Amino acid sequence: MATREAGKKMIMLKSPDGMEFEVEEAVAMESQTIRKMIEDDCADTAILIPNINSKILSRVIEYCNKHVPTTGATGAAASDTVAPAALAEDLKIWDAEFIKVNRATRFDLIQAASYLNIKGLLDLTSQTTIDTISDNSLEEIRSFLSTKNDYLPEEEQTIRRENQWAFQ
Amino acid sequence: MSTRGEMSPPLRRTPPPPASLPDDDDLLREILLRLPPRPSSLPRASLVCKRWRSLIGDPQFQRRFRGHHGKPPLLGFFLDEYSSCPFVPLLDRPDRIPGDRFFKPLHDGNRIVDCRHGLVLIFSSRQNTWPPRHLLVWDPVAREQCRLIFPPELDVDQMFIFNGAVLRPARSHGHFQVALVAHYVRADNPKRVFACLYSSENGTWSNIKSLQLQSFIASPEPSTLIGNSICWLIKEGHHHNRRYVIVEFDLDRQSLAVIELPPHIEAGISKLRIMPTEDGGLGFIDLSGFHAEIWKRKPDSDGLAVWVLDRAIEFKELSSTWKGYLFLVGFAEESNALLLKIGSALFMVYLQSMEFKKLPNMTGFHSYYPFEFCYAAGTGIGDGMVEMK
Repeated sequence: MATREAGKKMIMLKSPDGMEFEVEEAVAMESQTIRKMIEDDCADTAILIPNINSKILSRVIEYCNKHVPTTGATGAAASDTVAPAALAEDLKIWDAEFIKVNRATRFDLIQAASYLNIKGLLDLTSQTTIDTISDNSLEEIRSFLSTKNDYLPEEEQTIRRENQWAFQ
Repeated sequence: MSTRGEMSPPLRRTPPPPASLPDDDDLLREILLRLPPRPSSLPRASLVCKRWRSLIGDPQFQRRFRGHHGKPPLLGFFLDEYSSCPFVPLLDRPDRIPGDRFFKPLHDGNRIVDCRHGLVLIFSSRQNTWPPRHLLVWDPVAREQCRLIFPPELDVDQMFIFNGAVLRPARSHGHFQVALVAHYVRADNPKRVFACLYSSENGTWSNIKSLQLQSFIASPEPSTLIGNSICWLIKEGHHHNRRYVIVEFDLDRQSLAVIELPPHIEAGISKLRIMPTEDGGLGFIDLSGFHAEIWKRKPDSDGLAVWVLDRAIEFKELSSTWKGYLFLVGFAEESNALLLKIGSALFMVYLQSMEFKKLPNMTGFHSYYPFEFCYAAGTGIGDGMVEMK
């Protein structure tokens, strides 16, 4: 585990199942939701993150920790720094490994990314989900997402007929 | 960089989460937004269940879907045929939207003038008369159309509206703009160009702007959008000394300007197109035989804008196999692709990658209006022709 560098402001994130994570403020501010809390001075020394259990929260922190800009700039300017191509490539490989999780964890991560408003993580998790299903049949999509087909056969036929070309 | 997760053992185990998406429309929207921008994506997804269909059918979702994907795919072309503007699809199945999905019967004398951002601009006359008396803005995807009356200052017998443009401005929430350019008919050599801008947001035409030129003749090439300016080519000068100039209509400032092309660029049929440069500035391509030059506008050492040669292109692949004249018949702004025709053979050339794509042969000589759009309708909601408000 890395040691805390001098001068870095730390904040505490608490999950509803009672775990506490001490995180650099810059890392936590990868979440626009937390950033707003901090900027609006709504954040005390500890911020309770509702609905996100410790297992998921620790993965989210892992993601933010990897994606926080490392140029030494602080605050808002840091996130504007353009990563060099090599760094971007490294992040892409890291992301691909990071998202190798089971379906349930991925759905939880989508929910967490959405609540915490972390665009990169939301992109990664949602895009991976779509990529998994976009070439599948309707039945496979329904089964993957545990979604029921609630169309009557004639309704389904009508919709198919309207855009027949899309099903050829 | 340091992060310390001071973890103590959990007091109780959390139950394993169910392996289904949370029952949250916002989340589902986030995921569906990332469906590929292919035409078949949303019609197929809308068949998963009623909830998906209702989310996908929401116009606000469709706007976000288009915004999320940025540059739209090139779906095909509309052609300027007599009394119709048939759609020629370009994509493979299942993304090949059949021509009859975008069929529009037109009266004689009606003519397609421009196509951009999913809208088609048509000059229209009610009784097979020319010049046209009104115009149509047609949304082929939504199957809607809007009829516009010309601004009164231009809707007079002496005025000839020779070209137009349609666009949906950024962040306009579905609103569109139409720009028109006109000159006096009675003058054998028109010397003043008039322009006017319609905004569907407030439903009004702007004041007429005009600009004095040397005598000119109108040119039928479709407009090009450069930044937030609409640019048209016209031929300026007298019989033996005609050359192309660019008329630029700045939509923000609503001002007209004329930009001369380099003196050696000669007028000719289907050889020139205005195009945006890589950084979005003003440029043009000049085709001559199987050779083309791309020019761009750039400030010189004194800060004055001048034309500089950006790059030269040899269409060797075509010249080795095909004989005859090569014509530049279309330019797709978003895809940065040229449409070239030699005999009845048609080719797309993507300028970034210089990738060639042979398209099905087309006989006849047409102008081709690229239809570049993120197809996000046809989900079975509100189908049917309706007039836009």
